[in-house]
Amino acid sequence: MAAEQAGGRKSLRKGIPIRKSGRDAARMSRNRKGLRAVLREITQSADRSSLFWWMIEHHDELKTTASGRRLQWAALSTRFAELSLTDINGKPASPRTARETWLRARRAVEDANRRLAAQPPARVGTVYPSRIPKEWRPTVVPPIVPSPAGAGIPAQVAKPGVPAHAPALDPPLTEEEEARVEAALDQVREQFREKDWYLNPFPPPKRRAD
Amino acid sequence: MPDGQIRAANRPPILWIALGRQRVGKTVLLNTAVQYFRGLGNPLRVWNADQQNRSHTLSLFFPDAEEVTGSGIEDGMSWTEARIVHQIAHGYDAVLDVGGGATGFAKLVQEVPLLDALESSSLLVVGLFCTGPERADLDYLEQFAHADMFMPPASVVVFNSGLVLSGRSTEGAFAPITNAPAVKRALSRGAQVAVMPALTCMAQVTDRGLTFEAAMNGVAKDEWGPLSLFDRARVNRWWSRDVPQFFGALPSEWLPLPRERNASGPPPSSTGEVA
Repeated sequence: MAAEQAGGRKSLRKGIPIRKSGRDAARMSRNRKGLRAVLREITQSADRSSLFWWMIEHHDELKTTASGRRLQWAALSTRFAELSLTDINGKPASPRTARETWLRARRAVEDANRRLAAQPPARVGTVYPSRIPKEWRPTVVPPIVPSPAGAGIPAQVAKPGVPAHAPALDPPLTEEEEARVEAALDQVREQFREKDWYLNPFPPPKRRAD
Repeated sequence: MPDGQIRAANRPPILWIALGRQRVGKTVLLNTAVQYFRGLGNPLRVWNADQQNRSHTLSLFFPDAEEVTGSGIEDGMSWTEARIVHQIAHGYDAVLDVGGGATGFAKLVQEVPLLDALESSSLLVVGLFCTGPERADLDYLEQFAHADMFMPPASVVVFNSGLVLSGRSTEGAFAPITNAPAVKRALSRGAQVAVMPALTCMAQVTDRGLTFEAAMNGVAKDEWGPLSLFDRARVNRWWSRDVPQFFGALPSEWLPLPRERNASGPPPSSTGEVA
């Protein structure tokens, strides 16, 4: 029992339990390697903290868990320390470092997914038939949508594997963030207007409401 | 003026780094900051890593400025790295002008997750992202922030109103910048915004190599005569009113205020040439 617990903790410490079992596991591993390679390219360097890479590997789970709620970084940083996940200096990550690392991990994964999505599909014939998964089905190319007659606009042809619109590079701002940002920018615009007063020193008087 | 609310004696050493493409006012901003905070009594150090600008560098304005010895990007990178290590060891304040274009600093942050590496040190890095009204001025901010190379928690997006052409509306000129996603993203992460006040006769002052105090007091230098009466008045208002307002709008804990005394008081004064 104790040995099992110790083994469990060890696997947690090693972290990054991405491989499950069987063929799916092997395929997942290859996909993860591809993602990781792109991530390394994006982050410019493999010199990242163990916490960063752990968050990369557990990105989907963390994102799902965090959806719609505020993460408790103080408690999480304690948990990370228990798992021997550290900052870039090998020290336990502070709540602030953990939060910022999570933001970086999210951006890196989104960027990597965007790059992977933009890659052209593999050339036909590069995969042996024996390696093609059972569930594979040929890509159905959507029909060409004709442009309205006389519009003079070329019809859009959907390309398999390429999203119609590029995904946002960063997560959209929350309403609260948006409001805070706009308030700060409004102050700046007010300063600009003060500097510009000479361009229109005598604005027309405001109309009375009545 | 800084309000002096922070207990400056207990604060960490501060490094101000001005970033942005060429000709957006990085050197002018740091020149102003050094004169201002030295005038308040903080002998902060001046680091000039601008290897492409020769006519208006911090070394021209401050003879005690330390500058990169070599001319290559690697020289700039190793020099900057050594300066930061030295600063952490000795706990002083400094400003760093990295210059524009391909810089040693850019290579440094590309190689090393600098902010993560500095996390455990007591150094407070303040990033000053300078921008004019051109959309391309935001390239640095986009690159450094989005690629997660360098975006300190203490960051300021500085709108340099001195770059707006005379007669043009400042608000209209900066509209593409204030509406840019990169700026909004930076602000959402805690960056501040500030408007660097314009001084229309800035070149008249910097060409003479004078302090702003000396320029507004009509000091002549070499073959240059003193500033005209109206230019002196312009400098006077800018230095005595606009610049203190500009720095006073920034979070006081990000300011390199002198440690020995309360920073509130009249505008700093100095005489003669810069430095």
